[in-house]
Amino acid sequence: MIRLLRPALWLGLLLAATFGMTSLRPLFTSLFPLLERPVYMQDSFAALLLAHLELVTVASALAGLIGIAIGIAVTRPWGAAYRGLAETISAAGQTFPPVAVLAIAVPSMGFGPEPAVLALLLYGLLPAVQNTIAGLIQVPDAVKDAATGLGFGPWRRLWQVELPLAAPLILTGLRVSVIITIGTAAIASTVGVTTLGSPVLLGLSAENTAYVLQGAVLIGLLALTTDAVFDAIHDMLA
Amino acid sequence: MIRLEQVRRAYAGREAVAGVDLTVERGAFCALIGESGSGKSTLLRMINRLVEPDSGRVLLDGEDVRSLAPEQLRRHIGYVIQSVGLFPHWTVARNIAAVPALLGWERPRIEARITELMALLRLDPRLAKASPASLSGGQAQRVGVARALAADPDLLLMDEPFGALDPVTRTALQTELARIQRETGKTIVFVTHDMDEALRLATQVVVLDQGRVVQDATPSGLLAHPADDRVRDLLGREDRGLRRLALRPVQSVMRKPGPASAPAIAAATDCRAALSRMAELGVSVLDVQDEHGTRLGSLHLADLIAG
Ligand SMILES: Nc1ncnc2c1ncn2[C@@H]1O[C@H](COP(=O)(O)OP(=O)(O)OP(=O)(O)O)[C@@H](O)[C@H]1O
Ligand SMILES: [Mg+2]
Repeated sequence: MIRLLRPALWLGLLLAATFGMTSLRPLFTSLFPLLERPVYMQDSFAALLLAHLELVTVASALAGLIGIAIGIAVTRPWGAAYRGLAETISAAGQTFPPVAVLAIAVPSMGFGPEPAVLALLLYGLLPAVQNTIAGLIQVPDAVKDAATGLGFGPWRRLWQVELPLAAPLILTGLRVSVIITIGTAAIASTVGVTTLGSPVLLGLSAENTAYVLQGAVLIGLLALTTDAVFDAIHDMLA
Repeated sequence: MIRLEQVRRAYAGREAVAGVDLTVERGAFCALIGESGSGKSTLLRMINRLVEPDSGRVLLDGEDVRSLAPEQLRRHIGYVIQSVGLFPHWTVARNIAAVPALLGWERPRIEARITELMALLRLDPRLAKASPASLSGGQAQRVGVARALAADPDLLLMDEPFGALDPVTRTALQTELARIQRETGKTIVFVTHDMDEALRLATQVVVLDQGRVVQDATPSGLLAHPADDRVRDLLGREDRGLRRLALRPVQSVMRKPGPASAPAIAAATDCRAALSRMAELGVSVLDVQDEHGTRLGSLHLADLIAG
């Protein structure tokens, strides 16, 4: 129960901020007296949060699945030759700025969630791939040898022995991947996807610092909540 | 019964196993011994297809192992390695139950088997729910042996199972293994670096050098007629006489009980230990007694040495 306290606290704070933002109007008015509209009203903050979560979930789930699949493939005997390549490509995916991916992808894919998912997916792939590889190769040879020698087939060995032993490191990879995706997802608003980045971007172009602050605070709280949830899962696994 | 026919296996152009013919009879305790890199593990792992030979055949009860699915084959052959390789995320009980679970045994049968094996290997039943990380080296190795025995295989392959243990634990486990082999009549193929271990446990000692069989003999045959200098080196030139004594129980050389009662020695003792006891006490006659103290015979130094 104690384990769930921290995520519950952050979640409470996130929900309070999401639903209470509009009622903080007096605060924003006093902070930014020159602004005509000190609170972002185009969409409700709850809708922004949900849209943001949806984008992050899709992109992270894909990054996680693809990353884990790649990590598994290149640690099998038949895929070992591609391990260097996979690590290089996923590292390149993260060096390449997501904004640049958007700029390249939009002409062929059009505006909307698809190029955004692609950009976030590429950006979040590296930690998933790297940690899956790291998790699987640290499984002791003796354990793998024993499993094979006792009559585990390759897939059963992977599922019953290697993946459970790699799980804590893989989870760490997913956690990093999800957290950076939560932050980066804001840029999806540049290609017409509604996210918590929408007030930030509008605020930047319209010189409305209050909007920027409102979006940024919610993104930060969402990241902290998610991080606390991963912490709790990690504790439960241990 | 195991038959290897002209098996070869090369790694990067070097032959790890270079044309081996070997027969291990049912119920035999076969020790593979040789220097590091002589191909012991490679040979052993050919039997359960963890290594495939480049050429030659491996037959189990007359059947080519290549005609059997590797997973099925391995589930019916026990396998123990030096580094144990217990599954760290499973309890001791679940580790022992690994192969029965693969074979789809019913839950109650698995539970009963776990209890039985823990007793056979003298493991405290309270350890059933323990994690492998909390075990001592000796306990972990016992669990490794129990896991290999779980589905009651006729054949047990062991790759330096006691290599990493301290001498006391090692001797204890050797004794247990000898007992289990006597009680169950299993065929055991056992890799070791340790000549004393091989001589003590095995009924057949196979000396390997650079992937070839140098000698294949009984322990006493090996001691009596070492094939060449490599075997003599492994036997230890100075210790050979003592090692021969170690193979012989005192009962085989004792005379009828004498009148004067000499210091006592247990009937189960071997001649080397008896000789050591004589040297320690400065006597040349010992009184052989069974566990109830009944005098069985008297042991004379002259008979020990005459062999
Ligand atoms: N998977 C492998 N890849 C490359 N070389 C190997 C492999 N397995 C064994 N060898 C080589 O084959 C030779 C025999 O190895 P093996 O493991 O059978 O020796 P061993 O007698 O068991 O030695 P040790 O007593 O050190 O365990 C060695 O030279 C080893 O380097
Ligand atoms: Mg070896």
